[in-house]
This record gives sequence, structure tokens and C-alpha cells, in this order.
Amino acid sequence: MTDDLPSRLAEGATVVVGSGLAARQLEAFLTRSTHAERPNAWVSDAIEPYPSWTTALWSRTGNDSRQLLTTAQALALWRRIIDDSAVADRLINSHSASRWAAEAWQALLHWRIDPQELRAGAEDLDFTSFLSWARHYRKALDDNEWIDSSLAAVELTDGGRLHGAQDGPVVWADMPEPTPLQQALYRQLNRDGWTIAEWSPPTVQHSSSRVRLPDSASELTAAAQWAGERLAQSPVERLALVIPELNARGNEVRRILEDTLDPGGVLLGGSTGRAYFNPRGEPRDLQPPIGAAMTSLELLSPGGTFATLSRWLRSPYIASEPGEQCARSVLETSLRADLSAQLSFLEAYRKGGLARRLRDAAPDLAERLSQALESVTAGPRYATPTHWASIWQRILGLLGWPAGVRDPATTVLPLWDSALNEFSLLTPITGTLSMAAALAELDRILAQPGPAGPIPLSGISLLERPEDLGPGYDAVWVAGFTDTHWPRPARPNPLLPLRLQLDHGMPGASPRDGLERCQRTTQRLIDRTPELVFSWPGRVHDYPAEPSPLLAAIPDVEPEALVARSAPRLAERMVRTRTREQRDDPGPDLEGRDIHGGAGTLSTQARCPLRAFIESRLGARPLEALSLGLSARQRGIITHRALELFMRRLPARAELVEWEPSARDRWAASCVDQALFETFGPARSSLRILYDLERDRLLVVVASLTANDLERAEFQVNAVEVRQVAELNDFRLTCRLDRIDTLSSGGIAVIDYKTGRDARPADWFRDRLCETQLPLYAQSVGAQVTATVIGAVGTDGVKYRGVWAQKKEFPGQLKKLPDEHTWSRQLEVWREQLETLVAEYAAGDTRILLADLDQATGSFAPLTRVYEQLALSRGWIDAWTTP
Amino acid sequence: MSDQDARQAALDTSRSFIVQAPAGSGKTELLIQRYLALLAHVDLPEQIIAITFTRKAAAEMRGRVLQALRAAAQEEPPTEPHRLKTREFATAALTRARELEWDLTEHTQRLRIDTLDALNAWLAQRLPVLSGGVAGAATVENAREFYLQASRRVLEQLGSPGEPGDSLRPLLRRLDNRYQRLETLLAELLPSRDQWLHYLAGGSDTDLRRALEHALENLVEEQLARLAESLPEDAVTELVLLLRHGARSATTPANAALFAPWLELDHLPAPTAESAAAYKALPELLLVKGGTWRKQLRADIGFGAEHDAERTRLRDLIAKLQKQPELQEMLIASRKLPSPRYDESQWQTLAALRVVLRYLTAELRLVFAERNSIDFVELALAAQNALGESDAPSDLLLALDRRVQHILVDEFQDTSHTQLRLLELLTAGWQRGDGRTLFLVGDPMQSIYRFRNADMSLFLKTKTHGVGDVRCEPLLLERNFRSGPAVIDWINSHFPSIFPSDDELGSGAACFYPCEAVRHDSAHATVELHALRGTDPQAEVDRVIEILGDERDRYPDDSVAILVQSRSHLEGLHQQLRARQLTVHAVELEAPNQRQIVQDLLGLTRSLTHLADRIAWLGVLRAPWCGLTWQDLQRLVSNDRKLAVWELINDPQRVERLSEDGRRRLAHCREILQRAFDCRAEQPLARWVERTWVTLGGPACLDRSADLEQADRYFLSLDELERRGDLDDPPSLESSFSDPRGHGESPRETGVEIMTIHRAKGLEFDTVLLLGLGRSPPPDRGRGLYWLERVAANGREDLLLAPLTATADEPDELGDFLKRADGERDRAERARLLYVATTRARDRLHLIGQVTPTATDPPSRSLLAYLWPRVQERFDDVEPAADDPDSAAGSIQPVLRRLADGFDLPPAPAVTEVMPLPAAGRLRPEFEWAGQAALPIGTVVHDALQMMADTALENWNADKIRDRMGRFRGELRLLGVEERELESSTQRVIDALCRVLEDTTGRWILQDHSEAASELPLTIYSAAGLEHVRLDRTFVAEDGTRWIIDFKTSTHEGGGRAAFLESEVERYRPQLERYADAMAAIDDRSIRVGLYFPLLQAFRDWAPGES
Ligand code: SF4
Repeated sequence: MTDDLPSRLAEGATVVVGSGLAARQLEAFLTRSTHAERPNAWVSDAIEPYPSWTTALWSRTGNDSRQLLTTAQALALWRRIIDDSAVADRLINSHSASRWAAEAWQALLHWRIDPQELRAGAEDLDFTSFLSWARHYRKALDDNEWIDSSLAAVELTDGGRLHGAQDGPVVWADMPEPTPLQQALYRQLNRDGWTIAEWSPPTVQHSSSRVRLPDSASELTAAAQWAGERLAQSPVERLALVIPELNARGNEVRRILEDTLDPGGVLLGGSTGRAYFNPRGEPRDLQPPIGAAMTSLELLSPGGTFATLSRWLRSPYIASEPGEQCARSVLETSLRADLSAQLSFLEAYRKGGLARRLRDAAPDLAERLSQALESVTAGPRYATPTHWASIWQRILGLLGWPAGVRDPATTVLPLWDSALNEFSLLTPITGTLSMAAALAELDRILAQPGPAGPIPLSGISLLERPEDLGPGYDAVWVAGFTDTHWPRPARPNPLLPLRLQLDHGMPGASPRDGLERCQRTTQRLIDRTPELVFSWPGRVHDYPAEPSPLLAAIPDVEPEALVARSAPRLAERMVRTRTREQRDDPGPDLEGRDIHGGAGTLSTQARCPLRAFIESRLGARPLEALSLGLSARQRGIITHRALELFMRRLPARAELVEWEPSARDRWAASCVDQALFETFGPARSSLRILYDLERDRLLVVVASLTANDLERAEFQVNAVEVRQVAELNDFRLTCRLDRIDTLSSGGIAVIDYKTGRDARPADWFRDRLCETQLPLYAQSVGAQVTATVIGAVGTDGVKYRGVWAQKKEFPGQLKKLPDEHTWSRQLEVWREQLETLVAEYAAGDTRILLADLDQATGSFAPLTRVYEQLALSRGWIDAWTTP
Repeated sequence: MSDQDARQAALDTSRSFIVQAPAGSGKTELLIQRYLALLAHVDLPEQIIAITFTRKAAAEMRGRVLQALRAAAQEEPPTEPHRLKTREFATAALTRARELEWDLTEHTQRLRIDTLDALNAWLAQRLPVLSGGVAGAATVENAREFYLQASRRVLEQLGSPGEPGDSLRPLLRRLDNRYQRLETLLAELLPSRDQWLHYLAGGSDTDLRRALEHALENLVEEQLARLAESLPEDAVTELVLLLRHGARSATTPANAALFAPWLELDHLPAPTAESAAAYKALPELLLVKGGTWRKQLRADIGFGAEHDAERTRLRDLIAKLQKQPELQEMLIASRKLPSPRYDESQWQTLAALRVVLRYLTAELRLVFAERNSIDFVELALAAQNALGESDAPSDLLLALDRRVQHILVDEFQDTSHTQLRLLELLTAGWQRGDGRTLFLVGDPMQSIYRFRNADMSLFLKTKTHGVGDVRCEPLLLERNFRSGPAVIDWINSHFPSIFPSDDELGSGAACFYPCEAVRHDSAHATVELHALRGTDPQAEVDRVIEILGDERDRYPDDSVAILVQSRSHLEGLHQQLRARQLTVHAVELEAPNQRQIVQDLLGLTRSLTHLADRIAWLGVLRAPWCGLTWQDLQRLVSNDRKLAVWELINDPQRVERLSEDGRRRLAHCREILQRAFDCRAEQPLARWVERTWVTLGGPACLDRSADLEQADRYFLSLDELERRGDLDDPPSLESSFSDPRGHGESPRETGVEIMTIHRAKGLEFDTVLLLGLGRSPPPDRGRGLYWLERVAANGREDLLLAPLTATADEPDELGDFLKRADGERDRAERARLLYVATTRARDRLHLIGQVTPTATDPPSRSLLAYLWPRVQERFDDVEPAADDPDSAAGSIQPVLRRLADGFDLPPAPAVTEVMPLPAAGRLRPEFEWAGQAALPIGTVVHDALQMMADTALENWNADKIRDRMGRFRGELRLLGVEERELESSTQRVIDALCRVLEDTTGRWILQDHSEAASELPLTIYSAAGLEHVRLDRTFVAEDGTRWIIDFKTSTHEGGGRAAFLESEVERYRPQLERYADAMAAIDDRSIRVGLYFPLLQAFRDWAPGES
């Protein structure tokens, strides 16, 4: 009865197979032998997966008002019940518990055990929990007049429905290891006079071999090459690769297969099509536009943060006017530095001034967004999946998603729509959900495989489990057959007592049973496959691996026997082209006389000329890092500003002394508030706590500054926040100084507040001047300078450090001018040093200094190419010479 | 006990042991023998659990057990005596396995030899509810991202009323409002939460404070007790008298206060925490500040010239005490003892921290839940919780069919407190003599995993106290099978002075046990110290190269490893070796982001995902595939600091400014990038970047093909980082590539191995080169919070917790104490690191160390510091190397490397033409989202129409349809129609069906025709494969026409009915004509297709192809 399956089908028989996966494979197998005689369309063969066959039969045979849950619905019901149960709190989530519960339920019914008759001991929390969930599950089914597929199969078997219900012969095809319930159903069908038979694929002339490859990646490569070479010989071959953890390793597998089978596909637009067929379908969220849809929805949910906004602004799949795409990214960079980035998107948009900035930068986008937001605001906070789906469709429509996608109706949209449809089916189970919970559900659905698409009759199919291999492949490669993978470790259902599972011989409960099943599976693979290759990686992670003991009798072959020397990948061949050159590349002279960035640029020049060139000449700076709370830069700005405002009154020490403390504090408070106000802007009210904490801190800083100043000898504040244009070697650069005091000696102190980075006066006296701000400023003050002082703002207030003439002039760490220099001598030294830096900079210096290599690394590294240049200068790599 | 006897005893399967097995002592063989011996005694192989430190060790041990079993099944017995013994046990085990049908050689996983992590995973898997449902989650190696997220989420609640906001605010103030610090502090605490969580979790604040202070008291009392003990009895009275004198006569207020307790005392008080203050006077009296014995007696402590008699007595006393071994050390130690009480503000901060930590762990669980991933700590905690929940965990295990009878643990010296707790749970309820045994093997001298929370003192503790109630007999192995006599002599002579003379439980330092060489075969064994003086690290590298050359000449087949304490000591060694064409396997030594290829890809990824990342964009233009000069780059961007580079590139006027060569290069690159943007949607992110890179010519810019492997790894990692087709924050992408671990090269079978000492654990090599001996590891970053889990003298485990300080230099007694304790432990561990490194060598050990020309000592944290007393003179004689003046001060003048003119992509290798399948064509329109209830209504109507057509249509009337209302309702509901729309939707179904019955066209469609079928499935075969479609209704009419009709339950509101129908026809035309095409293959009658709208009672039909 092997070859007559097509004829049985032609006679109207229904062929029942274990699963949808099996159905697709069997169909391809059967069609392959017949399609030559067939036209290019026909009435489909009746090949039915067992679950849908039984449920259809159940629906057809009873006159029952109950409705059948889909598998996903049943699973969602389990999840809901577990989430509502007493132990929900102790579970991190109910994903795996619900899967196990559904499996356990199914196992019990299939092994003909009535869950209601089971009792658990008090200490067995897992089993107790399961039994209680099962009771609730059953009740929920009954209350709603629902039924699931296992229960339906039980009723079908025991309910006397089958008699006289036959509408054609039935063939059970390739259903190995039937469960007791399936066996009972088979017997019952027989008893009820059905024409029913079994069919197994024919045993073919077969040869198998086993091969060791170094690791799992080379296994995949070898398998792909092997398949590719076979297909090159005979394009009509039907091949299968069985790859363990196929889904988890999806990306790796896809990459290797594509690289090997479609070598041109590694170029943009070079792919010629699908390299393989995955009969399970591929996850829908592989499609980037679908990710963008999710980002958009997340943005408008309470969970939307700056990170979401950042993705959204950068996404090409959200429509806006041409010309806005770049502006959106530029906006993103400026928002990074904004305090509203601390807020949730909705709050930043509504209260943090974000709406206005969006409008200014990208009016078209802003308009779309505001309409979409209206839709969300008008909608409910909790809604059913069906309702959410319709809201989301509307939002995405308003946002013009998916913009920039070629032919979305045949690529992205069907996948997206199918996911929304599946999502809507959860409505009767979940009821209403928050938007975040709803998005999480949709996320899960998107991670599931979408529709598998057309079933090819030849080429390569991918499977995950050896058990899944259908009949009729010309050759099969089974990878990953190590001793720890096969035979499979025993995997009893954890929610059911092991004893129970052992007593009933449930699969995988005992090592013996597991072993025997795996042996049978191995044999089945061998019997049905003309050419079968088992491979195993010689190494897993960092340790050697052994082949499965079940392969002991199979002859070894060398990889070379299976794969001819393969052509190198395109990329490998490119490595060898060597059409390249190397040349000196001096930086260009500065155009004009202005040095952008002032003293800061010179300081950078001192540490890393190339970085100074990049930052100041090319205008390229690292983007602001996203951080929680105020960034160091923001704190610096606020602190400077508060101190500046405070000193605006230009007090002399005597005035500080006389100033009534409470009045002084009030003044300090108003300065601090003003400084905070300027930085916080409209985000102020939403960031109240942040504001208050920072305010407290600043008050301490101001108070400490005052306290310090009170300890000083007489002085007069001359100016604060002064900007000056300095000229060096005919080049102009601006510098800014925080404060200038006249001291009682008549000398002038230039003072700079430093937050964050450690400021060391020692840096003023290095051979290469790497702190240029005060030295530069001192130049413009000239001969009167008698003190250069840093006010270091730290945890406990302000501390003075620097050089000054007399101890009492400043409390704090005093440093002497080196080598007994006088101030005028020191100013000269500084001038020379500054002029050197200016000259270097203006001449287009692009060196990297080894002493401070870090300056050229990090985000700069792709542009400074510091690692390449280092390797080159050390001789680790060769110079490029034009061939 | 002799070594022989110890090995014999270890195989007694009825007793529990803790075996101290120094390097090379053949412990694995012993473990295997014991394992085999146990196999012969159990009922199921699963009753024995063997726990190894790494998966690799597990695989090796399992492999060797299996090998022994297989060998036993063969005929020929081995010749070596220890193998004979193994065979004996294996034979017995095999017999047992056969008797009981274990199928061991087929089912090798029945040998439960695994890591503790795997055991935890198994437990969690088997007890899903008890273990908190973590089992289905993926376990991730590096969960840093999760920690940060949890920490961030807690901090986001700063403004919320109540907790955790109320506790966060004082913490933040304490840390000077530095969010980042608090964020990092919290995130960094999470990976070690197994240590603090159970101390901080339950109980009230008062309880916790009591417990913590109690731990402090314990510490103080232990130290005082040791001090009291080391005071000679006959000196105590005199000491007390002199202290009392000091109390009366001290002249400075500080000293008076210090001695004050002695005004009230006339005897040495018991060493309790209360008397700590009194004890603190002892070191003041007897020692000077620097810690040496007092010679000068001064007035400030009450021994001025006027107290001549007392001065003499004190001198005598000191002279006497000086002879007392260790007393000086005890006095110094007691001086630095922290106070056993927290002050109020310290406590407030800790209490706040505790609240925050509770929220933090809760948030972490939420993050885990969302990602469905956990870290290994969570797994361990889950397993423990599951077992800990039960009064008798072993009963629970029994229920799991894991009546654990025997546990073997390898590398026991690297056990953490958490791991030990699991062992205690696993063995809870074991009774002496009940046949269950523990077998712990390790070597305290090789404990080097403190950074992973290993605590060597647990080994020492277990030796005396056992595990839980199980006592383990200590055994010591002494014979070394690995190293030749030269290496062993060197070890035996150098280490006794490096390790303490006794095990020290408190500080976790182990004493040295010498070993005895078994091998005498090695004529080529040497230990050589290469002493260098200079500052240029290259000198060491040069020496290594010299040694390697020599090795290669003389012992071409021997294995060689270069070991370093820290990756930073390599100084490009591996690059230099590679440049010399040596095969090198550098094991996880280099962070990927320090390779230009990775930086190129990072730059490309950053620019493709962020149009305004200017550095990255200019990097793309500067990279060899484009190769613009600095001059051209400046011309492109000059005077603009705002616009995106992509915009500038697209501005012809700007591009005009470039050199001709630059324009050509730019245009080429621009065109490829444009193509990339156009097809972004067609592949996942990593693939997109890769394709762009290859199309740009990226691979042609590589220096060696190993870089291509690195690129492959980059794309795999990028795949992991991608979420929703994009990156969260492209500018910070680099941070994901800064860890050398997990990015290693794939192992090579030959060549020189370079690795850190940690990685070399458990390995051996013929030759070992230990490099950078004179250098310190990078300084510790310091921790945000200091704590110490400490084994008290009574075997109890305590937590010592320092208060939170704002800055590292803020004074804090307890914190300083813990930092010191930490430092001491580190010091002890570095000594062990040296031991591990040197014992890896079989025959030749080269120690390469350099100190600066003028140094009298090596840096204190260097490995050389330990050897210094013995080797100093070797360095004295060394001529310092001439200083290379610009080695550090030099600079690099970057050169431009780029593809030369005329570079062309090589043609793609010939595609096997048939291979790729044509991309799937259009998908079936039934997936189309059709609005809230439209799709369910359509489904129900379709089903009902099918039923009406399949059963005699005459029997149907409006009443019969209405009878089915409940069923329709149920169907609609299950299909997702909302409650509030159920009524109207049901009504609509009924309307549709009734209208069909009322409509003659409707009836005509449904009535019985020749070859009529509803929902007819068709298979269409095309180049893409088999596709399935379903025809709603098809039949052959009287006139012989084949009809194909689709039902559409759409309605339309408002006017323009005709237009609506027309648009529907246009919409579904392709679909129906496809059906017609298919049908034409089956049926050669003329075909007409139609759309029937039941709700509208409308019908539109046409002949395919007709417009
Ligand atoms: S992507 Fe940028 S350069 Fe291109 S059109 Fe949009 S805004 Fe202009």
C-alpha cells in the first residue's frame, strides 16, 4: 500500500498526518511524483493534520453549540488562569508554566487520565498548582461553552459520534508513536465501520554516513555546500537539513545558508531569491518595517521613552516630507542634550516642550504625530485586542507607515495583518488590556513564524527535529548529533509527578523510553532516506564533543568526501584583491584666522591634534550620551550659571562680610532658581524632584563658595563670565573666563570654576601645555596677573587650587610657579607654548600622540582609524603598495 | 597518611571526603575512579551527581568515564598500574550497568556530570512553580543590560510619592546627586545579589541592624580573643597595671580618652565588643604609629621622665612581649578594628539602601519576565528557593526520582557561599552511615576565582566543619604527575615563604603543601628567570620572541603557552607574533573594539542607523573603501556644523569644491549608500550593514583574512543587539564590543597559546612563559559599596557591610577595614595566581620580569613582588636597557590607506542557477486586516453559506437562520468580536444570510448545480512551489459556463453604491482571475467570475481578462 497513496487520494480518501509540518512535506512528496502528469492547478489533495482533522470531525459529527478554541487561544487561556492563580506572584512570568500546563493537560487526556480524578500531596506545589489550574481551565471552558482540541478528540473517541458519520475512506499516514487516545480513536473508527488504514513511507535503498566537523558553524557551512553541490548536479533534488535549535540560531543559520547558496546575495540587491524553504515559516519580526510599526505604537503608549523617540525619529518607515529625514536625525542629536529626554515621550511631548521642537524641525512629521496622538488620547486606556488592533491600524495609517518600502502590499502588510488577526482572536480570552500589555502580546505573536509561503517541490527544506522529517527526500543532512543531543535527555513534564508519567509510559519520562524512541527515530530517518549524512561538531563552546552513540554502526566519512573544494565566499576573494594604495595625507591649512572652539580647541590640540582637527575643523563631535538625571555637562552649565549670577553683584570681600546672611541666602536661592530655570525649561514641573535635589546641591555649592571667599584676604570681584578674543600668531580665538578678582596686593586673579573632571594646576606647567584656558586668559590680562586659580566644584562645595602669591589670598591648595619663575616669565613661557599649539593647529596638524591615545579612540575611532595607524606604525601590519 | 593510602582511602564509597589535591596530583583520575566505584554501588546512575567547574571540565570527565567503560568492555587490559585500577572499577561499573540495563554507553547523559549551573537549571526545570517559573527563560551570560535597566527603572521612581522615592532621595543626596553613580552602584550590586539578598530580604530594620552589628561584634571579638590569647599569661597583670598608669598620667586629651577605660579596670576584661575600647589602648601603649615596638617612652602616654619606675617596667614588659610570636601583628590588627556600631546617619543610609535594593530586585525580576531571560544568579537562587521551600529537600528530590546518593565536587576551592548553600540543601537530612557520601576535591592553593565570588575559606571551613551535617574526612595528595623535577623543586623552594605557614580561615589564605615529583624522565626541564631592567615593555616581548624561537628549534612538537596576569600586559605580543608568521591562538585577549575592522563596521552601522552621527559619517568617507583626504573632508563640511553629512553629500555645490579624485570617490560611495537606503526594508539590520559593507568593497580593505572572521562575529553580535529592526542607541553601540570575552577566535589545533592565568586553570603545557611578572594588574576600580561575607571562627557565615560613602576618600572606619580585608584577600589570591601559573608547566618554565632601572622593589601588586626576596640579586646585576626617548612621547602621523583606482568588485562566484527559489509571490489576501468585526462576520457568513449550499437550500428560511443566532454569536465572539459589537454583528450575519435567501441571484448561486462546490480547495503549482487557494463557490451553470464566485460581506455607508462595487471589483480582480487561471487548468469550459455581496444583494461578474 506504499505507492497507492496518490490513488487513494484520487479516490477521495482523506489522508491524516501528525501535524501541519508533516502535511506540507507529504504534499510536496506526493506532488513530486504526480505533478508531471498534472496541469499547474488541481483540486487539492485531502491531506489533513491530525488536530484539524479531529476538530473538524468533531464539529461535523455533533450538534453542539460549543465552540472550539484554537491552540493559541487555549494557551492564552492557560496563561490567564495561571496569572489569576494564587501562585502567580512567585512566577517571573507565566509563559513556560502555561506551556507546560497545556502540555500536561494534553498528555493526561491523550493517556486517557481524567485530570479531575488526580490528587496531589500538599508538599508538591507544582502538581497541586497544576491540578487547580486544570480545574479552573475546565470551568472556564464550560462556562463559556468552549472546548479545546484534546477534549474534542476525547469526545470523538468516546462519545458515540462516529457511527455512520463517514464520508470517505481515511488513511493515517506516517503517524509514528500514536498516543493511547489516538490508538483508541483508530480502533473506534474501525469498530464504527469506517474504512480506515495506515500508511508508512516505503523503506528505500539507503546509505548513511557520519562526519565530524570542527564546530557547529562549519557543520552548517558544509551541509549548505553539500546541498548546493547536489542541486548544481541535479536541480530537481529534494533535500532537507535538520538543524538543532534552528529557531534559536535563526540568524546564524540564515546567514550561513545564504552566503553559501546565494553567494551574490551578500551584495546590496544581489540576492536572487530564497535560498531555502522553512516549512514552519519565518518569524514575522524579521522585517524591519514591522519593528518600526511596533516602535511607533510603543512611542504613543505610556512606555514610550526617549530611546523610543530616537528610534522613531531615525526610522525611514515613518513618512515625512522629503528633506525632513536628515532634519529628524539632527533633531534627535539636539534632543539628547535636553532635559526633556528624561521624561516619558508623552510627558515630554505634552509638558516638556517637545511638541514645539518637533514642529520646528520637521513640520510634516509633527503634524502626523499630533493627529496620531489625538487618536490615542481619544481612545480608552484599556481595550480588547480587537479594539487595540483597530486603533493601531488607524495610528499607523496616520503616520504613513510603512513609508519607503517597495511594494508593501506583498511584503510587509500581509505579515502585519496576519499578526493583527491572530491578535484579535485573543479578545474572548484576555478581555481588555492596557496598551503596554497588548503590545507585549503582539510582540509575542510577531516573534512566531508567519505563513510558510509556497511549498517548493525541490531544493532545500529546513527542519529542527529529526522526528519531523517527512518522506521522499533524496538526501538529508542531520546536524548536531552529539552524545548530549541524541538520544535526547529525559524531559518529563515538570507539572506532573514523574511516577504518574512512568506508570503510563508517557514519552520521555524514563531514560529507557527516551532512548528507545530516539533509536526508532534514527532508524526511521535511515529507512526513508536514500542518502543520509549525520554530522556532529567536534567542539561545542570550548570543549570537545562526541558523536551520538546511536550512530555507532554508521560508517565515518571525511568531509572532503561529501563536499568538493568549495569556492571561497565573495568576501574572501575580495580580501585577496589588493588593489589598494597608501599615501601621506597632510591636513590642510586653516582657512581664515579664527580658531573655532577657543581655548578648548587648544587644550585638545595639546592632547591630540587629530581630534582637535576633527572636532574643530570638521565640526564632528560625539553625540551626547544618554544618561539618567542631569549629565555632567548639564550640571556644569547650571553650576557655572548659578555662580555667575551670584557674583554678578561684583562684591568685594567686605560686602560679603556685611551682607546679612539671610539676605545673602535669598539672593543665592534666586540665582540658583534662575540657573535651574534656564536649563530645565518647560520640563521643570515634570522633573520637580530632580530640580529640588539639584537646587539643594547648588545652594551648598554657593554657600561653600561664600564661606571660602570669606576666608580670603580682601578682594574685589571685577568681572564674571568674561569673554575675550585673544590673538596669537595672528590667529583669533575666543576665551571665556568665569571670574576675575582684584586682590589686596593690587594683582589680578583669574578664576575658573571646574566641575566634573579633575582639574590639576600641574597641567599648566607641563612641557606640552594641556590646560590652556587660564594661561590663555592670563595673556590678555598681562602683567597684572598674580594668581591663576581653579575653583573645583566637588561633593562638598568649592575648593580653590592654583597659583597665588600669598597664602591668605585663597584658602586651598597652593602651587608655586616652577623654576622660580616670575609671573612675567611664566606668561612668556605660556605664550610660547600657546603659539606653538596655534601654529600646529593652523598648519593642519593631524598627528595622534601616543601619550594620550585614548583621545583618538572611542567614538572617534572610525574616523581617526587609530587602531589601523597604530598597527601600521608598530609594524604589526604591512604597508599597502599598489600592485 | 601516605599519598598511596590517601588515594586508596578516597575510593571507599561509604565515607565522605574532602581531598586537597595540589596541581598535577591526578585528581581527575581519582574523581573518575571514585565515580566508577560509586556506579557499581547505586541503583540508578542518576543517583550520583558530579559537579565540575566548567562545561569543558564536565565534558572531559564524562568523556573519560565513558572511555573507561568502553575500554573495560574490550579485551586488552592496559599496562600502567593506575589505569589498571581504573579498569577494575570500570569493569565493576559496567557489570552493574548491564545487570540493571542502564544503557549507559548509549545514553551517556545518564551520567550526571555537569556544572553547578546546569544542576540549577535542571532543578528549576523540574520544579517550575517552586522555582518561580524561571525554567523556560533563557539564561544569559552577561546580563549587564538587564541590571542597568532595573537600576534605571528604580531611579525613575524617584519622584513617586512613598517608596522607593523616599529612600532614593537620601541616597542621591549622599552621592551628591550623581545619578550615574547611583545607577552604576545599583547595577553593579545586582550580579552579586545572591550574597546580600538573603541577609537584606526578610526581617525588620532593627533585626537587620542587630544582625549586621552582631557580625561586626563577632569580628571584633574574634580579633580581641586572638590578641588576648597571644598575651603571655605572666605579663597580663603588669600590662594592666601599666595601662592603668597610662590612664592616670597621659598628658594629651586624645591619649587620656584612649586610656580612660582603664581607670575603671583592674584586670584584662573578657574580649567582648564592649571592652573593645579598652583593648584599643594596648597597641597605643606598646607600639609606635608605624607599628613597631615602642622604644621611646614619652609623656603624652603618661611615661614621661617623671615616671621613671614605670618607664623601666614598661621597657621590661615590651622586651618580654617582643619575643611573643605574632603578638605584634595582633596588636596592629586590633588597632584598625572598626567600631561594632553604625552611627545614626550611616545607618539611615543603609536602611534607605535596603529599601531601594528590595525594589531593585523586584524590578530586575520584571525585566527578566519581559525579556524571558535570566542570569545565572537568578537560576541559582531559584534552585535554592525550590529546595529551601521544602522541609526535607532530599524528599523532594526523591519525588523527582533523584534520590541523590553521592555528590562529587571538583575544584571545590572555588566554591562561593551561594554554591555551598545549594550543597547544604542537597545534603540536608543526610545521616551518618546512611550510605550517602560527599566527595569534595580541590586545592586551596589554586583558588583564583574570587572575582566570581569564590571564597577559598569555605574549603578550609569544610575541612573542619563539613557541609551542613555531613562531615568530610580530609585527605591530602602529595605526588605530582605533571611537572618534571626542575619545576617541582623550584615550586617547593619558592612557595613556602610566599604562602602563610598556616591556613588562615579569616583572611582566606592557604598554607603551602609541597609536592613530590613522580616524573624523573625529563632531561630538558628548566626553570629560568629572565630578569630585565628598563621601562620599555617591548623588551619583554623581544625576550619572549627569543625564547619562542629557541623552543621551536629544540622542541618543535611541544606545547607552549604564554600566560599573563592581565591582558594589558601583552603589549601587542600576539600581533607581533602574527606579524612574524607564528600560529598564535590568543584566548579572549583582545576586546573587539580595539580592532580597526570592528571600528569600521561600528562606524558604518552608526552612520547607517543615524544620519546625524557626523564622526561616523566622516569615518565612512575616510575609510579605505572611499578614502577621502583630510583636505576633501574639510572642503565637504567646512562652515557647516549643523547639517547631516548625507545632506552635504547630496548637495552638488558642495561636492563641486572637492578635488576631482575626491568627487569621483564620493560619487561612487554615495551611489552605493543610496542603494542601501533604498533597500533597507529588505533584510534584517545586520545583513543590511553587511551587504552595504561588502558592496562598498569593505573586505578588500582587510589586512588579513582573520579580520574577516572578526567581521563575521561582528555581524552575529549585531544581530543579537538588533531589536525591532534598529538599535536603541547607535552612538553607544561600541560598548557592546568592549569585552574580550565571548569574542575569542575559534580555537586552533596547533600553535602558541596566549591566555590569562585564569583561563589556564586546569590546563598544562610543556613550556610555560610567564610574562609581565614585574607589572601590576590594572588598578581596581573600587566598588560603590563594600561588604564581605565572612566565615567566622565558629564556622558561621556573616555579612559585614560598610556604610555608603560619597567619595572614595571619605573617611570611614568600617569601609577602610573592609577595603583592607579585601586587599589582603587579593594579595593572598595573587600569590595563588602565581602558583597556578607556574604549576601549568610540565618541563620548562620561563619567568620574564622587568623592573625599572632604578627600582629597589617591584610594584607591590606585581607577581614579582612575591618572589623578590629570592630573586632580587638577579636583578641587581642586570644592565638597564637604554631608554628609548620617544617611546611614550612619540606620535603617529596618520597615512591614508584606500582602494586604488581601478578597484572593481570581483564577480560573484557563479550561482548555482537553480538553487534559490523565486521569492514568494503575493500572499493571500485573506490576511488583510479588515477592521474590527468585518473579518469574523465574513468568516461566519462564509461557513454558513457553505452549510446552506451543502444541505438542501429549500430547507432554509429566515426562521431557521434566526434559530442559529446563539451559535453565530458564539462563533463571532470566539473570533474576537467585542461584546459591545456582538449584537450588531450577529444581526449582520443574519441579515446577510436572510438577504441571500431573499435574493434570486443569491439563491441561484447557492442552489444545486452541476459540479457545485463550496469552499473548494485548489492547489496551484508555480515555479515558487505549491500554493493553496479556496473558492467560495463554483459550479457549472446550465449554459455550460463554469462560475467562480467569491462572497464579500462588505457593506458601504453613504452614497455611491455603484462606485463602491466597482472599486471592490478592481480590488479583487487579480485574485479572482488567478482562480480562473487555476480552474482553467482543471476545466476547459468557459469561465466567468463574480463577486457576490450578500449584504448588498449585489452581484458583479465578468469574464476573466475583460475589463
Ligand atoms: S535623506 Fe536627508 S538628504 Fe536625503 S532627502 Fe531626506 S533629508 Fe534630504
